[in-house]
Amino acid sequence: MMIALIAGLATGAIYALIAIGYNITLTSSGVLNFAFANTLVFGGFVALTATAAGLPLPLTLLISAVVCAVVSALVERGAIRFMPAGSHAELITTLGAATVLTALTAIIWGSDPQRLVLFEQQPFELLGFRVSPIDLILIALPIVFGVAMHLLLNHTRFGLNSRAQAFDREATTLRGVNVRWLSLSAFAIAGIFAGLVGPLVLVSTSASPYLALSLALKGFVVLALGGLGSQVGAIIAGFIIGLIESMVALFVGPFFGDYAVFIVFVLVLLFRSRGLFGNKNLRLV
Amino acid sequence: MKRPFIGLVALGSSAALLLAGCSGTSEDAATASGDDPINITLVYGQTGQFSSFTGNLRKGVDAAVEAINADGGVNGRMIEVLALDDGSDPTQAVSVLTESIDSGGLPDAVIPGSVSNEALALLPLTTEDELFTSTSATNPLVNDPSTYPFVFGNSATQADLVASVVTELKADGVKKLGVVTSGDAFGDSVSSGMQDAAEAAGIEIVDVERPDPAALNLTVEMQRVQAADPDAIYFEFTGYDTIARALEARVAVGATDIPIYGGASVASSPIATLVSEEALEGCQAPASNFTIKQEQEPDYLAPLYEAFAGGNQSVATGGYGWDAIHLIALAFERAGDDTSAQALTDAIVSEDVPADYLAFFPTGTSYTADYRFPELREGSLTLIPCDSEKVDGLYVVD
Repeated sequence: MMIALIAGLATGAIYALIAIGYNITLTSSGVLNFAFANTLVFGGFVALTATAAGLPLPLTLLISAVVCAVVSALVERGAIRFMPAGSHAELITTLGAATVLTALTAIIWGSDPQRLVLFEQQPFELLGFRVSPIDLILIALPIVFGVAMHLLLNHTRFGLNSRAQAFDREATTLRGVNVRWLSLSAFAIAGIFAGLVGPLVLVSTSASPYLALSLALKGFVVLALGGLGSQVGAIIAGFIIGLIESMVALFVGPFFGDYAVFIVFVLVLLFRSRGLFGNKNLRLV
Repeated sequence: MKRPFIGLVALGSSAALLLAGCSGTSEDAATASGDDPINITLVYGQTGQFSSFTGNLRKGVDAAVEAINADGGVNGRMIEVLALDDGSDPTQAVSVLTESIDSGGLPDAVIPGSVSNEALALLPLTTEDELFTSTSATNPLVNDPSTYPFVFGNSATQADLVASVVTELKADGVKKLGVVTSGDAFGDSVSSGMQDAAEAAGIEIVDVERPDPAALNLTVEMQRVQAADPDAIYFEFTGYDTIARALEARVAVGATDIPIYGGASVASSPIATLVSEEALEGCQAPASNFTIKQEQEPDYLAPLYEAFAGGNQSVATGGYGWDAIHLIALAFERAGDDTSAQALTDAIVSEDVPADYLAFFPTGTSYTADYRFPELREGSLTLIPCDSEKVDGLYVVD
């Protein structure tokens, strides 16, 4: 049971990371960026090239973060900047950007899955149970980054301005805040986040250009379950979904894991439509 | 007075267009001959879940088409392939083929996807349009001439494929077997094929795990199999990344001491480059003999080998593409002027497929009116270690 518990938490952590990425742009620029999961996978492939070149892990992650920040900023410039405000066209344009990113990944690195090794790892005994180091790292990531993003957006001037522009762009502009720069910064921060965690996710799953689709789907479920805009909700909902999948697979059968997740998802949204930690008034600032 | 006339013309034109649209039946294809090319539509997952191996399938298709056309085509007709990307989604597969037929007319033959999921979705459409079809799907549901009269498999059934593994399992003294395969149509064929073969060999299947092939983690599934205490595990998935996750899950749960046997997809995957050495311990998979390096490779497959030279991808998946095109070409060659789906079907069942023609069936094979999968003859497969070295797409086995 302990192995299934760790596996469930590690898988849930991946879902939570995607939801945290969605939340970054949602809370700071009011945009649900569907290209986030694809940016994360792109970052993993950048790390693949960096490790093949023999670069050390810190430099690999740094390069991946910088590249993903640029990619994410380009998504903002190409898919968001010129959309009319309030049109929700970004739901389509970021999906388009996601498709382009995946195609680009497949063109640059090929369609075949590849093995990404950032460090040598051997499963070890913990409390009498076998544990993989990458699983423990994955479980820690959403907690560390989720809390960091929560602090950034709720306890800094940048976060206050970001939330203000997400809530009312015109009013924020009238207060003299450069909302374009804020929006671009939010996407760049999401890109840095994707570049830092993407390589670690792909160590666990193997690097496939088309992985983003399954990540995006479950990430969105976690986002809705946790509550739009809530980083704490994303972390908890991610772990809940991962554990449900894992435990149902262990005690009932793998076939029923997804069904159980969606039953819980529907039940939660039926009785608490704003998600577990969503703001009742959807007021961000 | 003008209005009724214009209305009449519009009505007449619409009716004519409608009739023209409806008239695109297989009769058109049946009368095409002479300089007309043989149009084959290939529907496959160029992107998405199956894209990891469909690139190799396409290489095999292209190698076969080039080789046949370079030899003057089939009865003087060149082969042209229209490739449609279904994103590895069976629903999308039906959409893209329907759209292609609606806009470009009926092809002469169809290769409906690379796996059972796509094939089973497309076959009702190809059958309704009376299109000759060659598929590498292995699901037993495909092998139903009363429902799909113009469909021929170019891969052996899962029952035949696993039979070679089961022979080895029995020889190794395996009495209890665990099975891990995908929870989809492909997994259905693997699961039922193994159940039949194991039962016939007196091997008990102690656990069958059917995870979502897109699952990010297969640790729980491997743990459940391990808990059933099998003497060996058989596993098979279409996606190379899923194959890798299954093997790494062995390491995670500490099950590398249980021998694991892969299926044909595992044998055709670049698995040695995807997982750790520990994950490959005790792993074997059945490789077709044409994918194993020999002193002298068969001449008739030279264009296929050439397509894979210099790479580390197995030539195996290319073999499916090669065989699909060659089976269609053989049908057209034998059928002569009458290229209706029925005539092409009769042409294939009327006599054996010759030796030195198909990649997977070097000694030839046969189809009957009631059985549309190729017969896998003894000695066509060899069980090789999963970590076997690969040179120019061919396994190097001691």
